[in-house]
Order: sequence, then C-alpha cells, then structure tokens
Amino acid sequence: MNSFWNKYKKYIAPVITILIIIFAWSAVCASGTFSEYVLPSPGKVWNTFLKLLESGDIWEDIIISLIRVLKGFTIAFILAFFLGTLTSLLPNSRIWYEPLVQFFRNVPPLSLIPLLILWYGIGETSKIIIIVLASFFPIYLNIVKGILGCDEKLLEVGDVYDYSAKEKLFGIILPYAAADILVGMRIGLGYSWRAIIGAEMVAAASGLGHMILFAQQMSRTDKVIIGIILIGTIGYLSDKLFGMIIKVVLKGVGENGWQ
Amino acid sequence: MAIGEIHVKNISKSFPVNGKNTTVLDDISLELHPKEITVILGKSGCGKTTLLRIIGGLEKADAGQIEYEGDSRMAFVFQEPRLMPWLSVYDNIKFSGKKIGITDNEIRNLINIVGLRGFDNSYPNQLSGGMQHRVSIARAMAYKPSFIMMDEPFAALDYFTREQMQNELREMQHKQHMSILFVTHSIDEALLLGNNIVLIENGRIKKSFNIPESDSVRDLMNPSMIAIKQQILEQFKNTITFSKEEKNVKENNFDNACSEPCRKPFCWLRK
Repeated sequence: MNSFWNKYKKYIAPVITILIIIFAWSAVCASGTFSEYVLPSPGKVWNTFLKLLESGDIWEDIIISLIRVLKGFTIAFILAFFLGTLTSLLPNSRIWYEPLVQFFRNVPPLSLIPLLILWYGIGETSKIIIIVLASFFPIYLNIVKGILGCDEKLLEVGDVYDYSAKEKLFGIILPYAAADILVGMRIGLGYSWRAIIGAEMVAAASGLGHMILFAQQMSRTDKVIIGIILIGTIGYLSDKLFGMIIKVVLKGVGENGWQ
Repeated sequence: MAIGEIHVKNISKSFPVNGKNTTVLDDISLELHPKEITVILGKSGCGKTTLLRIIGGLEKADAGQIEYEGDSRMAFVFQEPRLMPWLSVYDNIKFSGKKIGITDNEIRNLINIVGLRGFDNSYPNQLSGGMQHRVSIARAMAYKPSFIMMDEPFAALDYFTREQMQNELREMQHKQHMSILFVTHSIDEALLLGNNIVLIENGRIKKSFNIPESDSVRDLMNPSMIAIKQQILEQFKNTITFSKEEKNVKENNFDNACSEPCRKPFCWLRK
C-alpha cells in the first residue's frame, strides 16, 4: 500500500483535492445559500458541458483561441530570438531600441486594445498583436539573459580549439542559452494564453474569451464556469507539454543537473 | 607531424591592481622541448598560470615574444574540467577532435585510454571529478596537439585520484610522445611528472632542474629525488615573506579579534 501511494501520490493527491473542492461546491449549492444564477451546481455545469460538446460549438472556440495563440506566439518567438540574439551579440546595437523595448514592456497589452480596434477592427490582426506583445518580453529577456550569461570559461575552450565566432555561437553560446530560451518560451506561452482570453473578451466574435463574455451577457453562469475551467485546463496541458519538450531537448534537466 | 620547440623570449606582463601596475611576469625566457614534460612550479600568485595562458595564446604579453617551431597545434587542460554540460563524454571529446576530422574509432580509443569505457553516453554531471578531468584530458588529446598546456589539472582532486591521474598522464605521455607544459604548486607533483622543472617566483625564473628520465614509475623516496626536493625547498625557504596583516597575526596581535564562540554583541561587525 505504502509503495503504491509513493508511486502514484503525485497523481492521486491532486485528484483528491479537486474532489474535495467539487464536494464543497455541491454542499454550498445544496444548502441554498446562493441562487442557481450566482453559483450553478457542479451537476448543472457538467450537463451544460456535455451539451456543448454534443453541439460542437465549444471545439470551435477552443480551436480558434489555440490557433491565435500559436500564430502570435510563433511571431513573438521569431522577433524575440532575432532581437535577443542581436542585443546579446552586438551590445552596441541596443542603444537604438532598448528604451523603446523597455517602454513597451511596461505597457499592458490590453491597454492597446482601443487603438488596435480603431486601426485593425476586431479581426485577427489586433488579437495576434496583443499576443505578440504579451509573450515577446519574457522570451526576449530570457534569450538575452541566456546568451549574455554564457560561461566565459567555456568560450575559452572554444578559443583553444580554434572555433570561429559562428562556431562558438552555435556550438557553445546557443546550447548554453537553450535552458533559458526554453524557460522564456514556456513563460511566454503562458502569457499569450492569458492575453488572448482578455483580448477576446474585449474585441472578438469568437474564441473562448468571447464565449465567456457572451455567456455572462446571456446570464449563463454555468457556461462562464465551463469557459474558465477549459482555459485553465488547456493552459495547464500546454505547459505540461512544453515541460516535456524541454525535458527531451535538454536531455533531462533534472537528470544531468544542468540549468 | 613535426613537433618543434617553443622558445619563450623575454616575456613580461603586468596587470593594473587598485590603480597600480603590478608586474606579474618579469622578463621570462624559457625553452620548451618536444616530447618532454616541462613543469612550471611556484607558489600561488607567482604568475605561473599567466605564463601558461600567454604561451597558450589565451592572453597577450606586454613585451617579449614566443616562437613556435614546426607544428604548434596546442591544447589546453584547465584547472577545472570545463566540459560542455549538454554534451555526452563522446561528444565532449569530439568537440575538439572534429576540428581536425577525428574518426569514431579514434574517439572510442581515447575513451579507453583515459579509462572511461562504457561511459561514452554519460553526461558530465554523472561523472566524478576525476572522471571529468579524464574527459578533459581526452578532449585535449583528441585535438592531436603538438603541445598540451595543463594548468594545475589535478589540484581539485583527492590524494588517491590525483596519484592515479599523475601515473596515467605519464603513461599516456610515454605512449603518445606528447609534449606537455604543466603548471603546479605541488613539489611532489613536479617531481613525479617533470623532465624539466622551472621554479618561478615573483614573476621571475628562479632556477631550473633537469630530472633524468627513467622507464619505471618515479619513487619520491629515492635519494636522488629527495635531494632535488631539498634543493627546491631551499630555493623557496629564504623568500617566504609576510605582509603587514600576516605579521600581526604571527605576533599574536589579537587585540581586535576574539575567540570562538564569541557572544559579544555585534562582534561579527568588528571582525
């Protein structure tokens, strides 16, 4: 029993926590403290969820949100990688754009929505720009940190064995920065997922954010709760997936102790 | 591969310390002979590592020159193993070897020579300190250098591992006919390894010793070895000087210091 628990506790423990929350939620609903409108019961939420699955509408919203995240995140990564590498390798270049980068880092992407709607309407462009702005900075800052933090002693090994600047970049600097770059990407992915929901709540006709806002306007609190649970679950799963990719790419960070 | 001599001529180097120029190397001239182990021996801070880095091309001298005869491909073994943490043992060795087109067989052979058979796919952190040093030596050898520069490569190892590594290094040097420039602060290590021992003090060469080559493992208890060790110690004996702070400690000037465990309030601030 003990070995069974030790082996599976990391799966069992969170499930027990979730079951306790659902039980408490049911108990509060059954006590009649809140109306069905304010807090629908877990049973009602579950039934609505099954209906949404049956109709297929929910899949459409999920896929639309995911595609937006994927597009925005990819653009943010390419931009951040280019600018981060440039900043790290040509430190003099940063005087041209560093104040601007720091300025936008301090501007919450959602505050740009009124302007973006004015310029691009509520189409895809404005939402992808929001995602790019949200996820660019953690990726950029981690790339700069990873590259600038490269161990001088390892670079000297490259010098000894006659490595050119390009060989050192691809053979030492980038592999060394890989852990930081991947961590930045992981944080950036989380940020873009949060940003898309916000953007969809303000300026969209589809997607999970829009679904939540529309449900609120229709007084369907059960659908709002489903939306929240879905966002959390998809965010959690995509982060887990990324964690697995990091593990494979870094050949087991924990195992070889390199991070 | 024609292995040539290295002529070190009148090398000087100084570093700015607290706004003042401190001379680290002062007019050093030295001949490094092929197929021999030359040991640079000296106390910490005497400039031996700087000299090695200048000969190895990692630093520039302020004055003087170094002439390399014949093939001057050089490899470096640092004080720390400096392995790439994301590469396996095999790939770490290949890191230097691929520049000269090393073959798969040659890498496997090197892994065997340094006694790491079966660890080809291990990562640096899965190896002990001694094993990591061996990989770093194998990486240097994979470059097929005419000279290997070694900067106290065994300083961080325990006595037993160090002794084993020293013997392995001598054996490898015999087999591969390598030329080695070895820096250490250990007189015993210098006596065990060196064909030539160069004493450096305050940035100058104090004396050089030549140790006749023998096929067997050197015995430090051998009378001739003891005699050389005594001569080396003699050289250092007269020059052990103390700074003002060290003199204070020596003369039991402990007014401000207090013994452990101290319970005076804020004592740690006064220390």
